[in-house]
Amino acid sequence: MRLVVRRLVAVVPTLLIVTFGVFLMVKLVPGDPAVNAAGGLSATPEAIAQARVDLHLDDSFFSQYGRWLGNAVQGDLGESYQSRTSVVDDLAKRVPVTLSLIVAATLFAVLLAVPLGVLSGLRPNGGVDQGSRVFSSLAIAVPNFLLALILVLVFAVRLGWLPPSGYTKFGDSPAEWLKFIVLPAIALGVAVSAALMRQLRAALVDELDTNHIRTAWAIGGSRRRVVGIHGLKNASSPAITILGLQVAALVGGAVLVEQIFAIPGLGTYMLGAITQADLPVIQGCVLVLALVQIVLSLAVDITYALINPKVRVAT
Amino acid sequence: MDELLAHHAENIPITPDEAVEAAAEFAALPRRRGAFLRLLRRPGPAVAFGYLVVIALAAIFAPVIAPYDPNQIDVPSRFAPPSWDHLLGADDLGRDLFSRLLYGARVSLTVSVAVIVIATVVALVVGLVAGYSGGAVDNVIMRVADGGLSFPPLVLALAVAGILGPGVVNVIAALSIVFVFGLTRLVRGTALVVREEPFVEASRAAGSRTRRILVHRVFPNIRSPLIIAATFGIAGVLLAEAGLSYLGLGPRPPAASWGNMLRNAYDRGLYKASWQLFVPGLAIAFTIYAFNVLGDGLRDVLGVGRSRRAKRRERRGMTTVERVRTPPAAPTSDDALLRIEDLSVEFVSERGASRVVEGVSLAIRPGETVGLVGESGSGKTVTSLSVMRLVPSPPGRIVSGAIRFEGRNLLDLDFEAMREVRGTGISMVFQDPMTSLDPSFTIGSQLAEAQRLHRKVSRSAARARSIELLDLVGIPAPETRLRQYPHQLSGGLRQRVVIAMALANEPRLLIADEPTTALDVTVQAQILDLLKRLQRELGMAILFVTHDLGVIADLCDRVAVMYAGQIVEEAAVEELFAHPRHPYTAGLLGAMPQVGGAGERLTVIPGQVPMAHAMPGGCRFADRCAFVTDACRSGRIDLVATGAAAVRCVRAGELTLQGAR
Repeated sequence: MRLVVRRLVAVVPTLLIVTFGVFLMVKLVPGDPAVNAAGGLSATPEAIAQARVDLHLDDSFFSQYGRWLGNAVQGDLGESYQSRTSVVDDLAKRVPVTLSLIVAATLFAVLLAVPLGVLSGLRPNGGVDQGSRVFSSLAIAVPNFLLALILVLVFAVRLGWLPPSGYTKFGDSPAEWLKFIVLPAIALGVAVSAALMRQLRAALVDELDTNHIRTAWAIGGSRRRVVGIHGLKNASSPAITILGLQVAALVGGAVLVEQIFAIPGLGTYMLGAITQADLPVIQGCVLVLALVQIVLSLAVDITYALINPKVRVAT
Repeated sequence: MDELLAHHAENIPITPDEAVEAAAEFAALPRRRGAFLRLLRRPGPAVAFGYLVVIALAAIFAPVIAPYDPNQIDVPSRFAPPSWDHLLGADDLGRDLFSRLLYGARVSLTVSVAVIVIATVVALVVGLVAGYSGGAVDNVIMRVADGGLSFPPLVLALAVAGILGPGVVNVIAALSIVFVFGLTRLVRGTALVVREEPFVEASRAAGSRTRRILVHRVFPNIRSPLIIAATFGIAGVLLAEAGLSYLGLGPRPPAASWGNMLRNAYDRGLYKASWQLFVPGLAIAFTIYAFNVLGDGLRDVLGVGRSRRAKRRERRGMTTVERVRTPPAAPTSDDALLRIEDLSVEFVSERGASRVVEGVSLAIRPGETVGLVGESGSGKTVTSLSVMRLVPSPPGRIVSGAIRFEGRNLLDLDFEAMREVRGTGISMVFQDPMTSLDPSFTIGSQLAEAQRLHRKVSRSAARARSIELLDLVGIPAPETRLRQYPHQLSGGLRQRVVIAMALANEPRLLIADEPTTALDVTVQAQILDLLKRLQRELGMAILFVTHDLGVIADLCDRVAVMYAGQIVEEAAVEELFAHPRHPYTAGLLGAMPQVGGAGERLTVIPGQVPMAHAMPGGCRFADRCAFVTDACRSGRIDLVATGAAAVRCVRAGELTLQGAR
């Protein structure tokens, strides 16, 4: 528990820097935000002057940041220039969609990587190992958006097994959700799966050469027990680290994959805002996506600590 | 704050100017091109490099090579399949895909190289300033880098490029920002490590100027990791650039990039000409793959991190037996508990097989303690591991002999039958207690496992027995220890736990392979006393493997001395210590420090143990022996038994050697 608190405290400075970065990003945009807020190029000088006051644009830089951060903490990220709706409300609708995609992709990655990684680690250079090495080289070289296009082409256009795009909420119909999420999850999860698989294999190969594994054999351990319990438990720590590093790729990749499959998550929201230069929305999306990454990485870190007694139990 | 300043003052701060100047000076230094040649000697990286050269040339000479203007619209050729007119076909507006691919390569490569160059230079300067200055500067820079790394890279790039608007320059700016954080961290980490190294400390003490240290000490160490990171980084930039262009943030249409070609093929041609996806798609995938292969190759060649080459296919947990000669027949009646006969073990490597144990025979009676002594590399550990069939295969394999335990030849057993012997008939205690226990499980669960592997025991019975075992090996407060993990115990305690695990099923033979070598001297004595007491109380036989004759004198009934894979002498302990018959044994005794033997000079055996793949034909000790004659080098020398003792020396009858003093 103390460990969880420590990790949470360590995140605070990172959060400050991230929020500052997000704030700064928009401040550096060329052009006058007051003009945009007042309705673009056709705005009257009076409206622009009013917008300047409303937006506190004449305050000092840091007091603007302070105000923005204060509002953000209270759940106010401003209004969309386009739709005039609250950015936070829009984000709240879209976060679960993106999270469900990331979770599905992670599940796919783990379910594929664990058996293949373990079999490869048990028999280095065996058939499974050779096969999964080819698979992972391909998976790392083929960008997820290209894979997404190929999946649509094959499974939606040619075979017609699954819909090429769209989304249904998990809460509305889990079966429908699954139908829509399978291809995006595969597209997003394959590269993660490859990295995880290689790491698991390497860790297991190393692990099975250790002295404590020799001890486990020496007391008469069965293959299942030595490899499956002692080997795998110790090999899972580095694999979890890799999963943590892959979170960033998952969150970023989700943006592209959502766009291709027309999934109404944060990614499509952000891309729409980019084409319309809708700054508050872009700002909100970047902030939330960064938060998603920070929280997921934190979750991975804590999981790592929980299964690793050296971190969990102090000497 | 004062503390922070004081810490800072100890370091030599460097300015960005200095870092840049030093980098330029370093870049101008002549250096060997060996690594690059070695890289190209490997087939994978060589092909990848060749491919990238072709792509780069195609991009540079695109205006010359391209058969069409990449933006020339030709409606009749709409969705034309590949032909001599259009090598890779034409898109929805009839534009030539081959020409567009060439021009797209310009965009991809320009962006990739520009981003990596910008990000690397910035990272080098900022990272060096941070890592080398330390203190508050370092703190601020690293906090910012951490913050930057908290953004998903693609999201950050999208936001920056989206805010700046489409265009190649904006993409370069956006991606440079994204990639600089990770590289900065890498440079800073390496600089920090190098800074702490003794040679840099020494040059600082010697008054070397900051710039000299940077050029001659720090950069050479940063270079390899940075080159590797940059190579993988190019693949990452390429991927991100394709993603951004796919989303319409790359070069403005109609200019071609691989990413927007892909988008166009998907949006316009998915149902009519889906093959078009593969034109830019394969170009992107191959190029990324080539950079990754090159990066892997560089990592191997430059020797950063471990080579990722796979080990050979392994058969886990059991030494293979591939006999080259028939095993000796079983004796009709045998009073020995364990009888090793004519055991030979080979290690197979790329250079061929080397025999590390050659024709070893050794018997142990019930309750007897036998010492097996030799230098490292003498084959004593391999011999003892062979008894448990625990020599890893490959590279190890048993090529001859028999190991009879209670009449059964262990070399004929399959895994399941051998598993039954391990831990119940024969147990083993290893050299390094720090790593012999599984770090992820409690002492209690490992002790319980040792019992449950061989018989059905209830949880509470296993616990009671575990407490009893910890008590037996002299660990106080056993109940507390059961709940602890190995890392919470000292080395001595861990070795006691390992011994307790070995004793869990009351084995008839305990093999102890240098069980005290890794421990402090006082702890060594305690563990030896423990083994002596256990032997007395439990009446089991012990095979004690060690390089330390002093330990043997204290513990054993009989000793076998091994040298270069062979047993050279075997005798009762008192006999061997008083009247050694092999010059090697006498040498070992002479090298043994004696308590109270002040004034006596220790002698050292000159020379080294011959390598296993280059064994001399006659006596293997001949090159180091003071008594060597021609006869020693001619032909095989056998172990000759006289009564209970045996010696492998042609001059054994005539020499009178000095025993222990």
